[in-house]
Amino acid sequence: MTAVLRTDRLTKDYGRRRALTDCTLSIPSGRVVGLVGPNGAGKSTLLQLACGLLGPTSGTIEVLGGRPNSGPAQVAKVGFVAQDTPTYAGLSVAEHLTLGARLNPGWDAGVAERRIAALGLDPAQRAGKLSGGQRAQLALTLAVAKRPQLLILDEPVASLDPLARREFLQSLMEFVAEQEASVILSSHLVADLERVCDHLVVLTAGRVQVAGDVEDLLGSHHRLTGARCDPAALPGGQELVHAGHTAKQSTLIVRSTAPIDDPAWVVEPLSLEDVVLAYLTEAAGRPRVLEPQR
Amino acid sequence: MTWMAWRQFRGQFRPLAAVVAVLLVAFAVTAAQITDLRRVSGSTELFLADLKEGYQAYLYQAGSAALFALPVVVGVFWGAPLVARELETGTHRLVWNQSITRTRWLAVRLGTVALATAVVAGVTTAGYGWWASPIDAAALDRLLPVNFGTRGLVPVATALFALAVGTTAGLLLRRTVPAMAVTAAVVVAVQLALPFAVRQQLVPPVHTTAALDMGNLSSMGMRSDGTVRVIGNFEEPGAWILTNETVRPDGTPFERLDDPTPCTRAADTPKECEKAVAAAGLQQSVVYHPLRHFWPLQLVEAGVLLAVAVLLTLLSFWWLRSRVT
Repeated sequence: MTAVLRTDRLTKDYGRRRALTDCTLSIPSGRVVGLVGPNGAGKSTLLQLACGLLGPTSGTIEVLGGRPNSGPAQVAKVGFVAQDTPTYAGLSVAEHLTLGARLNPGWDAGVAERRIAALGLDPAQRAGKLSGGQRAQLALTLAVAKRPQLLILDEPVASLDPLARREFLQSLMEFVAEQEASVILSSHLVADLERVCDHLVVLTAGRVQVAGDVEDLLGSHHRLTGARCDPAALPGGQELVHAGHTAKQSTLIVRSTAPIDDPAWVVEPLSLEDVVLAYLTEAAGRPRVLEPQR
Repeated sequence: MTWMAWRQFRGQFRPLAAVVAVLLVAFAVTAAQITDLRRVSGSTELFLADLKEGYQAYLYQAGSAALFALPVVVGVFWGAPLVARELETGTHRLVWNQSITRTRWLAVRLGTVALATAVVAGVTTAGYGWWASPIDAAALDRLLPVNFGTRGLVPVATALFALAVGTTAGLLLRRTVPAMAVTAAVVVAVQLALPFAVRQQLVPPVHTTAALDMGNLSSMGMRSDGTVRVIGNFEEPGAWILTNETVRPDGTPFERLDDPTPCTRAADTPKECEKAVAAAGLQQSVVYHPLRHFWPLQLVEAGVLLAVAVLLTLLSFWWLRSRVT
């Protein structure tokens, strides 16, 4: 299976500020990948590197086997919905579709028109008069009708209300079902991604904390609760992600592929949000006990 | 991509094209009246005097003002927003992710606007030159700084140069309004620098020296300290005079007589001073461009402006490919 996105020690500086540090990743194809991390973690930087809007400072990045921004053929393979879903305020919905048709040899006019009709958008309406949700849908339509092998979305739902958010993610899933393309979307909210993603990358402060299929992540992370102890005493094969202590009790988030059957611990499974939060809190350096989610 | 380039440009194109169209119609309608006036007036002096009386003087000035303003307007309203507005509104992230490289995107967008600029500036300067040709033939002042920049090829070259300045400024500054301000400042500065500091050198001027004719002076003045300022007339039709100096026989600038007495307060009448100056064997030294330098100067100046425009455009493409994020 080929990787849709492969990076090796990828680093990006903005002047003196380092936005992405030695990022090494390999994302298999056919996945809906969630890229999660707090604001300023480097999510946008990574996605813009992937679609060729940015060039790396050092390291390499390969998308669908090609270098991003290496030519029109490469751009044609990747659809991108940028942060805040920009559209031309002065152009109508229909003119946006003309734009897509004129600039993309692989344009699927049928898909575009069906989507616009299904969304109930007036083709004569100027994009500047659309609501945030409608604009996001228009931007998604442009990216989807180009029939990309990889669709990249940068915080597509961040500025949308909950209803528009759900509708947007629904259309996204319809696209995935229809076209069997890979998708990478970023968010700082796990809840947004939980519903749609089957692969997750956690990014904090420009570094990849963990990456893997959601099922594997859920199966390999455990919450251990027991009498207070030194987390360094964990057996081999169990990797400590996060430790929290009260006077008598220790709560550990542990990564282990093998099942844990030590009777000293109460072992509980974790939700995806718990796993992400464990990595985020650990990276932020704030000790905090994670309560089980109900 | 041409569809997109035109769709984004037409809103800026139409108002300027309309103004130019109105001007051209005015030229077309009134051209015959100018030729008639020329025939009826008889002498060139009467013709030029008659022109000053009529509405033609306003149209003449309007055409001149339009041709000086055109490059500024093109640079500010066509050039500066070309890339800056995309970067400002984030739409570059939309359009650069269609199946097109950003190099091709800029080539088509800039090419469309450059073509429109050349056509609009070209028809304006051609129409104005044609309309004003009887006036130019009578007044012989095409070479003077007030007219040179509104005739021939220079307006077209200046407008294309302004477009390149605007585009580059927008790309480097990434904001429309500051880019507009910088563009206006640069274009106006260049329009002023050309006649005052640059144009003179573009083609070697003619240098003549002749005996100063005391019967044909443009001015003469003397001060109590014996300093005498005397300037002869230089009459060559259509010439653009750069310097007109009075020099001694050895070529040094003339400031006062060796014996200044006839030109001080001690002298009885100015006549005495004039007589003494006439006897000093002074020369009139003139540096100027004759009217026949009009086209050589036009070609060189247009060439210089276009060369700078090309360099700025190359810089823009390089910047767009390697620097813009």
